Amino acid sequence: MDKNILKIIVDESKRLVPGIFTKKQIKIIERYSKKERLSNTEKTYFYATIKKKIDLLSMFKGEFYFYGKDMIQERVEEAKDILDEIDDNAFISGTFLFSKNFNDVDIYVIAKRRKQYHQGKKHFIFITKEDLKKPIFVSAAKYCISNFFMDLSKVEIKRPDFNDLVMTYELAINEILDNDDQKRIRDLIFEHRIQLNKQVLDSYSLNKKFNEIKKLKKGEKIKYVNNLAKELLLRSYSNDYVYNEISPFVTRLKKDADGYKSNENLLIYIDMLNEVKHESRKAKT
Amino acid sequence: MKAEKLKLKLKEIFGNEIEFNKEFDMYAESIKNIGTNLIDWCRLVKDGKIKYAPSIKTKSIIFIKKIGSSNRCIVVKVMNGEFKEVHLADHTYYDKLRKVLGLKKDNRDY
Repeated sequence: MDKNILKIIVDESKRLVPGIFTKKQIKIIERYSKKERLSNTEKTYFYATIKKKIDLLSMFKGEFYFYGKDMIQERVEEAKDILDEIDDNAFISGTFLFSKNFNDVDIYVIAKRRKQYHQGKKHFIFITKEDLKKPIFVSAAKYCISNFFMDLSKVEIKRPDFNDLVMTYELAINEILDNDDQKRIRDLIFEHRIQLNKQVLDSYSLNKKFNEIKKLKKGEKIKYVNNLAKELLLRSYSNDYVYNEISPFVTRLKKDADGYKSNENLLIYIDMLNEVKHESRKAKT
Repeated sequence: MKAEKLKLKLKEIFGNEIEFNKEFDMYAESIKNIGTNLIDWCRLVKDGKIKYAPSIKTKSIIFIKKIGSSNRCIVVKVMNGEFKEVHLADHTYYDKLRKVLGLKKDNRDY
């Protein structure tokens, strides 16, 4: 029996009870899908009554799976056409599904090896099945149209590399000061939510949050980014480690800032890192 | 602007010791108006008017500039106050270079 349809029935049970299934039937389906032992009476009930309904529902099962809401209807149709031409398991995600303006159509194809290429507006990204546990791809898959069922409950959350995190923060500040595309803010929001809330934002929610922040005034944006970085640094690593890494770096930054004309960004880093340094020292004692 | 002419101009700015990546010539000839763009930006770098993002791991200073939507980039590496390298290439090269320079961890770990 199709495991996917069983999972859908259990997940959507509120909408199916009492119209199609009874509460008792849902409980039996749930136990069956979890491979729990059924009593003889339950088995008879399952095969004589419940299975017939499940088989009937399977016939109506669509060819596509939708994750997320508020997609642009025309784009949904276009996405279905694209997916129709792909034989492998694939899904379409990104701004194409929800934003009037988009650069390209991100098409993720499950394959044995990673690769990517552009074909006009189509951006093909080949990822492995294992990649679907990585936050960056889970985020894309949580807002998509796919031609296969995806279980996105297993996410591998790793602590970010300290150097990468500081570098992302620095570039985010530079992008704000230079009024650049400011995409590093999005990276920080994403990482912050993962590390502090153990939650992977779907690409739509992430984009929405990012656009909200992007609209803030420069000073407010810097304050917001400083807070994100501060919390990430203090909550992701031990106080000793943070203090020992940051102290010599701040000393170096101060020297650099003294002898460099375009030091506006360096002064912002120093302020934020000093706060982190002081808080980690306080927490140590 | 021809690649060789562009390299000469950049040597005038950063000094004769400056080195270029292998792909420099190809990108210098294929990106529109890259000559003026690159020269102006490098002058600003030399004059200390461009912001940089210092790395905790490496003491070199790296200046990065993105060009256009296809993410071609220029990277200038400075060590002990001397300008050492100019890299001009696409986004894939930029990603690899950042790992080599210790600015980024391998994204396969992400």
